[in-house]
Amino acid sequence: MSELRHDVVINRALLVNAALDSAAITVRGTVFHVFTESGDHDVTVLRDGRTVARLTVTVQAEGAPPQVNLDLAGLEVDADRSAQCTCQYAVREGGVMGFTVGQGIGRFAVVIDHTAGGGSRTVLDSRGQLPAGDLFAVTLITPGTYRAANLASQARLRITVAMPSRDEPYNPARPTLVRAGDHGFDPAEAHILAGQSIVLLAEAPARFLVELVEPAPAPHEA
Amino acid sequence: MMADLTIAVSEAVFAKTLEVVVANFAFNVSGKADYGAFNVAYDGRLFLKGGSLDLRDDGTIRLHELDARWDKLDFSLGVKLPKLSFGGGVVEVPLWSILLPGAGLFSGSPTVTFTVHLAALVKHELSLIGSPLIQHFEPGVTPIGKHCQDLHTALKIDDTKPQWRVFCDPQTIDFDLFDFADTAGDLFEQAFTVALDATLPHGLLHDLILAGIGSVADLLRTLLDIPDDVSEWLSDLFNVSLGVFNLILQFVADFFGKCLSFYQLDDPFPMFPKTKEETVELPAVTIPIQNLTATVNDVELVVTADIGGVS
Repeated sequence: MSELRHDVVINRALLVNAALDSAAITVRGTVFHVFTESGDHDVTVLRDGRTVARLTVTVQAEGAPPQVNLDLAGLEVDADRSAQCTCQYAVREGGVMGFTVGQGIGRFAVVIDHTAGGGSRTVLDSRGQLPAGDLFAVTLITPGTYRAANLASQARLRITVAMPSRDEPYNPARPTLVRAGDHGFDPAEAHILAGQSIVLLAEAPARFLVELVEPAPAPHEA
Repeated sequence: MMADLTIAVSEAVFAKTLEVVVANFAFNVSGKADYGAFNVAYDGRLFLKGGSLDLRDDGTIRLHELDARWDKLDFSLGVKLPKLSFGGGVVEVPLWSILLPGAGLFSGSPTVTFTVHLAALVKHELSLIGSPLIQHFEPGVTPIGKHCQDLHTALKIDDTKPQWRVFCDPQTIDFDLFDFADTAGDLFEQAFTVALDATLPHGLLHDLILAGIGSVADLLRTLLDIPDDVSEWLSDLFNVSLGVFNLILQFVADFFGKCLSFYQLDDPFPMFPKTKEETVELPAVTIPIQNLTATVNDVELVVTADIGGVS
């Protein structure tokens, strides 16, 4: 009576509940770096410790977008195809670059060096701590209780992720901001719906780790 | 002035011709169209059944109650799934706002294509009224399609000779529009919704997707921009958007007006074949045919012609 064909490939990485670490950028964990100084920046992209791309970001006072989001997995694919990455970006001074991973199970890191006067200075090595002003956004899919930790200050944050109710409108694109300062997280607890994001703002150097502590019971068990 | 030649073709001959026509009529039609959010393709083969033919007093020929059925009518609908993602949105931080990229649910731009076999769900009836039309056939000059050649073989029409041919030129064609019953629309929607649902991930992601979009049926209706009645949407698609209805009308008009000859007269007409008497060979005697007319009354088709100079 009928036939079905499809080329639907599900992004299975969404269903993996591995801990989300700002030192390892993955599908559900994005690092945002704020460029506070004008001039050229060399960006090295690493996957599992191996350099997969190098690019230059020029930070300028005017004539550049305030935000650029870069899919590191896509960058790697492009680099493979062309054998070299001719990646050059421009961001407005005080602007943001988001380092994200669209697909796959790769764990990425970025190192950003500000080059000026013949020397260079590392302004971000995501494998260590994020500098103040940078952000780490995590998208949490599985309902349950999560713990976010700032390994730099040992502060902890409890995050509750609930299934959306059928009675109210659900929009996954509703992020919740949490500040991470010297004295812990603010607010001290966060509640979101499954599929939404928590954005952790480092008000002091921070390294974030978000892990599922206890999944919510399945609906039939509740 | 009396015509030199008068030939009458009875209604019984027409009826016999119609039988052969019905047995040999086949219209293959296929096409596709892209409407952005979705694309469609169809592939069908139309055939005829039954029907009768009347010669009428008003000089017309009427073919009526021919059942037009589909041997196959495969309809494929490809829906491009919308971008579904988790996370994302805008977050306000001191002095600026940041746009979070969502985590996409699918790779690339996936398409779900579903083919339904509609042949059993749609039926038509064909009737037409035509007038006799005389055309001269010149082998190698008069265009003739493959389907016509096959039909001519079945009707024993010789396409190697110059001939006068009498067609039934349709003046009106009555062909039922594609009209899908409500049950067909419901079945189609239900089948596609189930198919679309099956391509989505199961478990938690499925529940979250449904929380975002309402239901797969809602998603399908939104993507296809379907109003209340799916069967009406299907009918409009075939009749208007894809223009299948017009293609059929054109084919029927060409078939009867240019392909199906009810009577043919060789031109020049062979009066006497080539003969041999003892040692003398006598060439064939042929005569050109001119000034043909064809008229219809309720009993027969009458063809008259003048005989030209003997060659």
